[in-house]
Amino acid sequence: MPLINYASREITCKIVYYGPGRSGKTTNLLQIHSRIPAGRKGELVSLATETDRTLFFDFLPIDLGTLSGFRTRLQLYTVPGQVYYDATRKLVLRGADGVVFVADSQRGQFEENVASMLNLRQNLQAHGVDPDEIPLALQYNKRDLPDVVPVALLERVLNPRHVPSFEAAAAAGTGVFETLRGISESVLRSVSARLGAEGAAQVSKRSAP
Amino acid sequence: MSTTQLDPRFTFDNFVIGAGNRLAAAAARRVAESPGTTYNPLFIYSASGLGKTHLVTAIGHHTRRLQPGAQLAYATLEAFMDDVMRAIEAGERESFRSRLGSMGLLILDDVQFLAGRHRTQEELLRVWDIVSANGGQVVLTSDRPPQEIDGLDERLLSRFSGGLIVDIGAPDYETRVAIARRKAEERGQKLQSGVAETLARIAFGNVRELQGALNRLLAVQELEGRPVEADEVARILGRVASAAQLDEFGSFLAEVTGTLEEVVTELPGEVKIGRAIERWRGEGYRTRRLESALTTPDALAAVDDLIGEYEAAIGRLREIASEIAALDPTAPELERREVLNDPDRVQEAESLLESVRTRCRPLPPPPAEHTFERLQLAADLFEYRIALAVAEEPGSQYNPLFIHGPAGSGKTALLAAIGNRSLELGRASEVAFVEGEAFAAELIEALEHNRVESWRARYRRAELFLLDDIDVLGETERAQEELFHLFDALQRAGAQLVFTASAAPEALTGFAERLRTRLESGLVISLEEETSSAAPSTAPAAAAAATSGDEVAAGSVVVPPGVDLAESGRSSRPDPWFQDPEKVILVWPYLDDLIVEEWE
Repeated sequence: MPLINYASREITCKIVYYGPGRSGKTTNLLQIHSRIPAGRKGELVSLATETDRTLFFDFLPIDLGTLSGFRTRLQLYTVPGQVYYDATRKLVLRGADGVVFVADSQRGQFEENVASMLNLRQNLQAHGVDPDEIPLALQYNKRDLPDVVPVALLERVLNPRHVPSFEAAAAAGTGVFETLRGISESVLRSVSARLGAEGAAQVSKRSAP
Repeated sequence: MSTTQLDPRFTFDNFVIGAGNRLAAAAARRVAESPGTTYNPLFIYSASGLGKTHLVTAIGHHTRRLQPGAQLAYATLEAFMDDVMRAIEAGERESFRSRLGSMGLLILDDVQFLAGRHRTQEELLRVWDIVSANGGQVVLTSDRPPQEIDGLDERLLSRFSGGLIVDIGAPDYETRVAIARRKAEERGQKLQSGVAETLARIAFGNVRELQGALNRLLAVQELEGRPVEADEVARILGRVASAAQLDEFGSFLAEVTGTLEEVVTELPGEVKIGRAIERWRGEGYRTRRLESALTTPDALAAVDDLIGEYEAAIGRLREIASEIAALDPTAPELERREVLNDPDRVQEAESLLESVRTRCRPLPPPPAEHTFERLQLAADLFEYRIALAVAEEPGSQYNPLFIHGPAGSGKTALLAAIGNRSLELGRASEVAFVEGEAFAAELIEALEHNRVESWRARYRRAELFLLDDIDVLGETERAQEELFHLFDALQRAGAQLVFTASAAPEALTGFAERLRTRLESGLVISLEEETSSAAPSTAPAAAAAATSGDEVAAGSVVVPPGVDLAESGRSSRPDPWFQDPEKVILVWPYLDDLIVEEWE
């Protein structure tokens, strides 16, 4: 999985926001987009249906500028959450450096969260990626709504790996950047670990799936 | 430009380190402790107001403290430009260069203003080279990385990129709190609880703005003689700490930068190789070897060796290129950048150099001891006069001149004398004197080393080509072929050719017809053994005789068609062909009319 290009001193990270339909993945991207200064962000590309449900995917490129001598870019994607768009999900997931799983904290969505997490694991395995190894962050969204499942329960069911998890109310912007920061750090650290193990660093060149 | 310009307020002691500037601060300290040894140059860039000038000034102070005698200079680029202009106007360019070049530490602030200033760039290059040669340290600051400075000379770009390039990011929230507290402390004031935190939550673009806001709060405290409370901050500053959007992104950036620093410093091998790639690619060299090392764990284990070998190869390539340029500034080999700029093709570059060396090697000169004055030939001898005429006007008549005669008849001496006379008179500056055997041996060596082209090119420079003992080329194939082509090329170029042999062209064995006919196409003269016993005579008189066509005594001459020697009176001896008892006559059209007499 290419990420750091030492020759051109560029870093590009592909981060995919995963989760059940209507859990707030696109909202996360919209919030990030609205808070990034102009010039640092590309257009948010969103292919949505008339009912504002993500049909294909959202794509938001962010240029973090030159950090520690590396031109650093993040590419944020969302997958369509609806069950029947599995082929699109699988496609978007390909080549991901990290995944944010956005769970809907409402009690009525508990099963969808679990099903989506299982689907994530299956699709990662289909790409030959170990779901227990890929950098992952969990976001328990919609904490501002009534009747939400306790975080402890979500943790127990959705986070057996004990990856970083964040409470959020994405519509209000709460917890959005914390989540992005969490996954970015995990991704960067995983690169370090992976290079140590494989000694591999290659050209990073990505395009939309 | 002097150290007096170092702002005494900016030291390492009062520089607040956070995630955004940790790497830059560490590098600056390292440079100050051992200038010229680690990161040279150190290039620090960031948006304004984030502490570049503070850091580089601190380097100056620290260096001076550790090495009180150290020569160091600090200048903004503007001051540097002024100095350059003054030096040029006063005609003191050289002393300016040597004064700055002698600095152990040269700090230039705001080099982004070099954009488009070619004269200043040129001057900086000169100064830089002197500083480098003296092992000095260069520290630069800019508001952007080197590759984003418009109109920057490629040579400067590669020099800027040759050490460590490090950026300073915006301070995160915690760093801003620490800065606010430190600055208040420096002013001898105390902040109420929560004031620094409230101040730090405001999305200031840089430290300078933060400091300005703090100054305002401190001024209120001083003037009103009471402490400012946290809830007054927004009112006093006219700004509220709600610009959380920018702040959030700033904090995020600071955090990611911190992580990145840890990640990249854990991977020194890749970082080193990456820098080397960036540098050498910038100078136009192929970096394939380094790139492939990035994917080879074994190579990464010995990264210093790898880069050392790579750079040694570049060093050799540079030597080769400059030697080629010195030998022949217009050498087409210099255009072979795909070879001369590829450290994986040093062997090929060596071959290019060898070719140029071969081509540019001086032509073998005629032995100096043979001159017309020392020849054992009578100056009024026909052959002597012919040879002298050729020496004095090479290429204009009797071309080629073919001299044959038995061993000891003085052919070689005459051949060499022709060359020496031409050189002496300046009639030909490129004179080649080569023996048939050496000619063939050189060709074989050139073939062996795949340098035939250069070998040919070398002889084709000749204005006077003297080949001694062509007999030995009989039965050779390639040497004759080469001689044939050389013959044509030289004649086309107007060069004079002279050959010697033990026998006339028609009597030489093992020669291709096309070459033999060419050897006969000029003038063929022969030397007899007895001619060499004649006493030396005065050359000028002989030359005059030769050119005036006066009668001379002598050897025998086969006159080729078109050459009128009727007045030379040389036909006192019969052609040696008739002396040969064995004759093969293939076609004899008028047999009935002729009587063939056998000679004893």
